[in-house]
Amino acid sequence: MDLTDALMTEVAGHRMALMPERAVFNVGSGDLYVADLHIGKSATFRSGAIPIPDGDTAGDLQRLGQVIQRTEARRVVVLGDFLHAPASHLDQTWKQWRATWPDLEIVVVRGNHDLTAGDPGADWGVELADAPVVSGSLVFQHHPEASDSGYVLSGHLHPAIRLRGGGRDSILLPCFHVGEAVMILPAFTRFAGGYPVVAGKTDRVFAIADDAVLDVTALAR
Amino acid sequence: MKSPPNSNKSASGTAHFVRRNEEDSWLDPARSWFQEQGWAPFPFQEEVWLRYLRGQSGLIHAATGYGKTYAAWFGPLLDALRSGDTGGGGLRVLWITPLRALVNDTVQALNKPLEDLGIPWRVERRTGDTSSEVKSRQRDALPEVLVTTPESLSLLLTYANLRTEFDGLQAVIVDEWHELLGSKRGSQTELVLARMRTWHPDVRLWGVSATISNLDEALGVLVGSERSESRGSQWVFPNAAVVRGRESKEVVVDTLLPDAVERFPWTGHVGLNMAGAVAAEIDQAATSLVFTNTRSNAELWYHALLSARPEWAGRIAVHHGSIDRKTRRWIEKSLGQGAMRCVVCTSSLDLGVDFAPVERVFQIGSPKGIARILQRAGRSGHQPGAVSRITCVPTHALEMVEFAAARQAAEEMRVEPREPIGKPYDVLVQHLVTVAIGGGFRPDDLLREVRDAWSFSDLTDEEWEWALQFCRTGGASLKAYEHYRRIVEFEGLQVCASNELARRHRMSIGTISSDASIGVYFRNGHKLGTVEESFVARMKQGEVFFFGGRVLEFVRIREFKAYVRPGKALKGAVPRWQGGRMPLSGEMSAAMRRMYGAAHRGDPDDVEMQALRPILELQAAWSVIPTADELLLERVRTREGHHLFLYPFEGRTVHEGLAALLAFRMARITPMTVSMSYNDYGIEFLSPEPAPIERALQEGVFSEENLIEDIEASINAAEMARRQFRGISRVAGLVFTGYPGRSKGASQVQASSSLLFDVFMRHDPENLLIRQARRQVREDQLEQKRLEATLARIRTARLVVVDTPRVSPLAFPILVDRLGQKVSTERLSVRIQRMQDQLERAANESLAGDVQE
Repeated sequence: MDLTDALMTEVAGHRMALMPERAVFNVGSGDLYVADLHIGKSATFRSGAIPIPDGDTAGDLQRLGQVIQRTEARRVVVLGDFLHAPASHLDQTWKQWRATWPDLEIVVVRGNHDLTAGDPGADWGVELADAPVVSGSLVFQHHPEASDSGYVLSGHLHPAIRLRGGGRDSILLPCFHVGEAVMILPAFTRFAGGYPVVAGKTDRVFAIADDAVLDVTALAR
Repeated sequence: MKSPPNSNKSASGTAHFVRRNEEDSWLDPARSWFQEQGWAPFPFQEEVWLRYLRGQSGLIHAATGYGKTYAAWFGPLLDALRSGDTGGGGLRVLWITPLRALVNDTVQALNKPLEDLGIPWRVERRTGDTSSEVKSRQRDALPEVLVTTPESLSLLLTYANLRTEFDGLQAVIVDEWHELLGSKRGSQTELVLARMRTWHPDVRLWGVSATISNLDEALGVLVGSERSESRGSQWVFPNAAVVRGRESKEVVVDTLLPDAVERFPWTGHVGLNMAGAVAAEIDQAATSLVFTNTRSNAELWYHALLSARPEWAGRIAVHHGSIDRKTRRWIEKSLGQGAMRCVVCTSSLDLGVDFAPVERVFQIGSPKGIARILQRAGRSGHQPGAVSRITCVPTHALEMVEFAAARQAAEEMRVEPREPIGKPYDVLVQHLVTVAIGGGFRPDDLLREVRDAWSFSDLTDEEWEWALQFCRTGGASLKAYEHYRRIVEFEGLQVCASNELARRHRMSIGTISSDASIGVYFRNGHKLGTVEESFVARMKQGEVFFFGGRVLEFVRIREFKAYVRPGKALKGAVPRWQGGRMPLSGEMSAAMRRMYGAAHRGDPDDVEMQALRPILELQAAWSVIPTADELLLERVRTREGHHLFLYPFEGRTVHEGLAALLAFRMARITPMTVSMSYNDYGIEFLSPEPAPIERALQEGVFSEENLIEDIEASINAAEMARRQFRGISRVAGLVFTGYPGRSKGASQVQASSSLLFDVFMRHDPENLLIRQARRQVREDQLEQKRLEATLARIRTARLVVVDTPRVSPLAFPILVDRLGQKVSTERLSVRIQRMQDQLERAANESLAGDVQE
């Protein structure tokens, strides 16, 4: 296991590695959590006659492979918005990628985009489930809403934080937003905008700056 | 006022114009109609009519209010009489105007002589406001005369069945042609004009333009590259000419002098201390226009004038581009009827119909350009025998140099050119889809036509192929975009791929204008106007701001609407929206340098320069006043560190690029931390150690070698390109806004231009749209050409380096501008006051010392 550059922290009693690849690894259970893959987003644009170059889905999956390899994860849990839209079914990249991980278990908790996109076929090799999925003291769902069944891991919002340098210099970085009852993961795909987090008093915020994960809680409040 | 230097061989009067009898008799119906109105045609109008009847094209240049409209209109009318036109059968004359606001008045003016002359033509309008009922009637059959905007015309081209309605087209007339030149809307218009020339090789094209220095080039852009011949640096037109109208009436440029000038002026004011004096001037005229440079200044001045003259309530208004259109129309109407005492406005009233009652025009702060000051002056003095007068009001003392310089340049008619822009790929891509929807095209034919449009005359085969592929398969041939198509081949023609796409394309035509705007509403739904999205995004609940002459409190933003409620009295500064400040024009900069040169010799007798004597004397005592062929560098040490000031007087855009370039090159000599700031006059470098300027000069800090590379290395070029990409992606149809009844499907293909920019940078960085964004940064944002010219001028200039005892009067405004970016407004004014006091004391001591010596 290679957790270089990960930030180790505790979330709801679990030891979690916040990975700069935009994923969370549960060290105890061997689960890897990701949210908002939006597979086939650029294909959706192209089939809508908007010329966008290809490459983001392939890049995202390459990064997913990398983080699976590093963490030696046994299971991947996708916290919703696995697919972007109906046209995502046109994208062949996933199936090719999936074939390189025959023994990996992948669970997709449906998100709002998955509902409009329609379920991927059996040849996509994923197990589909409606939210919430309860797993011990953890709850997997797409929308960041507190649950009676346990601590919620979610996505949907594409959280980001704006860091300001001098003058007009500023940068928006994807981040992990860890609250008391809910954790929101950054969008896994790079082809997604970021929405600035509004952090509560006890929340923690961790920004991803290239290969590093930084605790920026003090800047977010 | 002297006439402009005439580089074109076309006649500027009719004295030598040989008339043949028959031709002359063609003009008789016009002459008698004019006589019935109690007028007589101007010679230039008759020249235009004759040329028109001979089948020629041309560009009419005349001052506002001197019959430009009828100069252009009576050609087609006389032609109709000569040929016995009985109407019907589609379009004859297409009348394009850049301003929707002008359409109604134009229709009215064009209609006026029709009935008298017995010509059975209908004149109709077609703009974004036209009802769908009228639009669909026009889709079946066009009237003989259509008055429209470039966007609406592009839209018409998407209706394939309209082609036959254009069969009888005889002329296209473009009003305010100078407004379109040098913009993407202009390129869009050029492509449409080229299409008209393809359809009708002998169509006559007439433009109407205000004063610009490159009228010949403007004519070339209008008639297209195939009808223009280049001879050396000159353009020759076998069948077209520039016709110069009656020279403009006398223009007076004067200044409202402040009672006292500050020796240490700063630009933080908006000149409101002059409001009382301006009100007193307005008292003496029936109606006045007060021009400001930004919308927020217009709001501030409106309030200042109203509190100086509360009795004007109801007869004073504020007019700018953010105000709701209905309100603006009402203000314009009241102006025309003489019901307004005063209207505070921005460039929103630069153009448009004449308001006869306007007697005085005021310009608050720098006019930034000569053409602008002439244009604004021309808005006054339409009463018989009156002169056009513009009175400039300084917002800080040094602006008086600009006023004197502007007057001199205006007298010499040194106006700015309007340069056409080169090859905007986004506009081309949009046009290809437009033509594909409107019946399709054969690539070779369309290429010839596109190159006839001036902006695209040097389009290479590769660029053309790219644009075509971008619409057909996405990227260049090796990198086809899977599942993508916008244009497909059908029976040998390139046509649009789907009806849904055509619908979306029609929605997005005409989104060439830049920023996304958000409506401002009261909570009962009453709309007040629009503001830029970026302005609202920064607002907090309860924040108070001026808008449309009201004090408003921001409530919340919901679904692209900003809700407000009436606010209580305002404390503190007005937030500034539309942040970009206009730079000085090249002509204005040159005029200023000449004016300082004259001050150096001590001979300007302009009242402004006399008033400025305390400042100029101090500048000469502590430093020098540079001549026109010198570049002044001042070094001074303060508690802040070592300052180096340079005064190229080239305007803030050029200074921005120049400052970044010099800092980058100096840092190569000695690594150092340096902060830069600049205004329209000069640049400041501030560093803990003295900047190595001597060595930098020796090593060619002003060299043009590796200029582009050095600039791109010195600024955040990628960030600037990202901002330019915003507009590009909208025009090229990558993002679209305003999609009524937006379906789920539409939201799935919406992404911010910034996100798309990142995707292109990662996977297709050589995409021409990305290259265009970079080029726009260089050409538009950094004014590369002017920067190169500035460097060339500086290399031949005499450099004068002075160590000044304290911050000089020229340096002070730059210093203060920089502080303004750091400190909050209120504390800043206190701090500046303190600095001013200290410098005043020092000035008094040092000048007193001079006297004693």
